[in-house]
Amino acid sequence: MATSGQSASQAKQLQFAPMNSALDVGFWHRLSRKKLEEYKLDDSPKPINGYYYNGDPDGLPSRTSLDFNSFDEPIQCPPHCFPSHGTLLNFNTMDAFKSCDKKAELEKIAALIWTDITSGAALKDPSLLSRFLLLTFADLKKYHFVFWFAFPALCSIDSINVSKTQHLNQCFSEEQIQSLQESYDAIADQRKGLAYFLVQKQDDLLVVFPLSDWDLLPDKTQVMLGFCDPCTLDQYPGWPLRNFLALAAYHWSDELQNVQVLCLRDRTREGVRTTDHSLVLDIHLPSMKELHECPKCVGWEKNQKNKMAPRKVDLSASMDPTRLAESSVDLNLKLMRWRLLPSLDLDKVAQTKCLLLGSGTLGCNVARCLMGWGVRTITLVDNSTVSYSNPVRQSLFEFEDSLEGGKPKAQAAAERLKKIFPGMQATGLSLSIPMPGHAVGSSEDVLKQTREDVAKLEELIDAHDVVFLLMDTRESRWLPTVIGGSKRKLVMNAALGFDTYMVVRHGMKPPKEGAVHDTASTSDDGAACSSACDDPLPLSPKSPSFLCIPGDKLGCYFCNDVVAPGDSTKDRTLDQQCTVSRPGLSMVAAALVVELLVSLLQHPKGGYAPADTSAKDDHLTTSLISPLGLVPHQIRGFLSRYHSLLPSSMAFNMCTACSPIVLERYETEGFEFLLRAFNEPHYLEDLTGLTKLHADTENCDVLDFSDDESITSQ
Amino acid sequence: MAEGILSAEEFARNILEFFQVSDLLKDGWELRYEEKHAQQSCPYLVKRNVLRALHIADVGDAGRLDEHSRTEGAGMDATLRNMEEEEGEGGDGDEDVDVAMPDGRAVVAACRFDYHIVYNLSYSVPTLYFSACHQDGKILSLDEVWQSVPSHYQRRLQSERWTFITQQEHPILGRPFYCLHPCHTADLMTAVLKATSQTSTSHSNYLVTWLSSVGPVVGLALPLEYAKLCEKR
Ligand SMILES: [Zn+2]
Repeated sequence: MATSGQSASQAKQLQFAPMNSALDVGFWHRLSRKKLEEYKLDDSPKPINGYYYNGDPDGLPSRTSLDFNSFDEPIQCPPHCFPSHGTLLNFNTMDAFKSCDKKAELEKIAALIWTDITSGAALKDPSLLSRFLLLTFADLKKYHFVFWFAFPALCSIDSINVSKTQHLNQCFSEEQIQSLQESYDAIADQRKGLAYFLVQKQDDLLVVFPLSDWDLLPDKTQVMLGFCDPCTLDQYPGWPLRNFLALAAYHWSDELQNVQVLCLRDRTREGVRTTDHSLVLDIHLPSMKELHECPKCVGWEKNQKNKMAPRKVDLSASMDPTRLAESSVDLNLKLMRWRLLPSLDLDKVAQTKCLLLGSGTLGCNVARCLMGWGVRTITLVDNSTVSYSNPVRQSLFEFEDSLEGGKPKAQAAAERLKKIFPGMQATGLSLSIPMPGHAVGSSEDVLKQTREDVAKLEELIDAHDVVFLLMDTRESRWLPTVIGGSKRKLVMNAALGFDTYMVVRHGMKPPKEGAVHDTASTSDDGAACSSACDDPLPLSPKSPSFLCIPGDKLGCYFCNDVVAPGDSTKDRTLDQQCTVSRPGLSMVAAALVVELLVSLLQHPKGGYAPADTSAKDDHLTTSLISPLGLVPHQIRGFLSRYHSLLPSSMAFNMCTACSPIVLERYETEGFEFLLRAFNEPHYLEDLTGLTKLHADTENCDVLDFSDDESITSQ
Repeated sequence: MAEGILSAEEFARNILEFFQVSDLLKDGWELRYEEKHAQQSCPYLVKRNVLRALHIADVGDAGRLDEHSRTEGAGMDATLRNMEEEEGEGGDGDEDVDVAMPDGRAVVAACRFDYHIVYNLSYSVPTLYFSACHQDGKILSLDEVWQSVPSHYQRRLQSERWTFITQQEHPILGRPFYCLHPCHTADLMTAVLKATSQTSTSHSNYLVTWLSSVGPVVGLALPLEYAKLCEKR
């Protein structure tokens, strides 16, 4: 026999590497399902199973693994793993978990093991020596689990001493090791998972026998005890040896007082199998033959802090449907980025806070599309309720919402958004937006209310990055246009005619002096668009410009009012005022206004991006700066011809909503200025020098008509 | 048949061959059959319980526990701390001293990986699904999974589209798994097969060629023995 560097002359106490638990998330999935569908409040012991393996690379802890299949009968170990028989105690409350008599529970399992040893059952089926106890409490609301494993090991009555520890290849020749492997394989193939066995030298080769063959073996003092050892430590055997030694000490102590133990470690790496690193221990085994009661038992697993206490795991990330929905929504968008647009900045989109003024067909469809892009914060504002005719067109409502007078639209829409995707931060608010030319009156109450409404709207616009104008009247868009312009927010506008639509991003005024802006600098507007276009000519605001205009020179919805497209709609104006648009129109316009916003967010200059146009078919050839493509000022569509144009126009210096004088008055006089605009019919026209604005507008068809059949109070 | 893809029949043949090699090597693959389509049960391969010692930044269990204590406060955690105090000292006082982990070994997180190779009907390619979790069953986050990618594959992960990892429901088990998305597998295989001047039909084991090329990204290496399946017939 080979000599050993490890051999020690004096014997020391044999120590064992403890068993660790290792749980796959599938185990917790299965336990949750069992608890909900089968166990319910039944907390009686349930048989489960686990397995361990003796082929791990060095440095890994020995462990008993449980997974999705741990509840299956018969046991389904992976190939070359060894079963462990478990008892599950799943408690209904944390208190029950805590107050359970753990010592008594462990002793019950110990008694099982001891009975299997003394009755001889474990000689026929040695896997009975490997048992575990698992205490759990599952909080299925939070997906938190508390658990505590015990791997019961029967203690020897006296200490077991080891006099020599060697590697297998220090004890035996290559040929002998080869014979050991072949013999083990032959027996193991017949009995699935042969974890404990006997080894005897015959004709100088090592031969493996099942425990039940003990009586047939010739010279019993020459028998080695073999077990499959999950431990990877160089000096110590693993936990499964303990109960095996108890069995040997009970049945065979006369013959095996001094016995060699083979800790079989069987590893295949890069397709090459080796058992050389297995340990061979020379031990002295105190007899347990005379023992008539179950010996003491140990084996509770320590927690992460190395204390004798349970562990807890939070699996909400992988089990909570809400969290799962969130992560798959994220992944879905990331997938788009990875596959197609590596430069897409999705976080920027996700973090954009959107304020939707109007919760009708446009509001509903815009919200849905924003949600698709991963926008999480959406605030909806409306002052009407869901009516019977709404749900078929307004995609966030159901029939139920229109009963009993109807739910407030904004709140109903926000609730539905959260139902569709619980990760949404959606809020709905009922708010009337004061309008110019709609006198507030002088009553204290009304005045106070108007003041509050304005303050609320200012606060909302402040708290968001983008304001969508999706109302069904033109006048109600005025106030948010002024506030949004003054606060330098992105203002996105969509308006519908019967079969025409207009989508426009409002020009973004240059940053205020001293203001810190997160968007790229725009101070010299020449530079802002020099790369993409030549000097913009000073154009009459009344004629649409098809030249490139930098973002801070672009007009707003009210500037554009006076340059409405074509005259084909003129005759229909009256009809449109009290009728609906073609049902698909809102979807088209809502989708476009969101896509335009996202393209704009991806543009390095953001709201200051110069406008792309379709003049001279530029839109087909111009080089794209935003990774998503063009960032036009306006999209005007004509459904009857399935045609759209991308015009752009300069800010109109007499505009009632975005001209310098209006913004200046708003910023210096605040509510007093607004009040005059609301109350005095010609105040704005007079102020801007546009006395005929309303008259012009009426002639010039407008694209903002109710998409609702009923004309609301505005 | 289009380039770089594999029929379901070929897939079944490939994994049977694969499984035979695995059985000889004892490297732990299991052959399973999807149960719901009894008449046309499609086999798939599973390798469970592959332990990888990962150096993942700050995944100490204790740290995670504390984090929960802070956020969740109350009931369960208080009880747990309470139990630690009560039973912490008790131990079992047994003379069989447990072996502590030897000194000088850095604390590494041993993470469990399970690998599933399933046929994807819509892409007509095999797909690698995997689960990865800590020892208490908590799954690794996508970021942790990315960190687990061996450093020499990190760049590849960034640049090659066929190695990107995503999360999807396992088509047979219905639970969330990570997977190497199959949408570029056919491209990859077209390129690989071209490089070795083979076609998917003359090629004798598509599965091995594919798996040996994408598996290592997520810690799944194939022993050389499998390459024998790819030798031209
Ligand atoms: Zn304007």
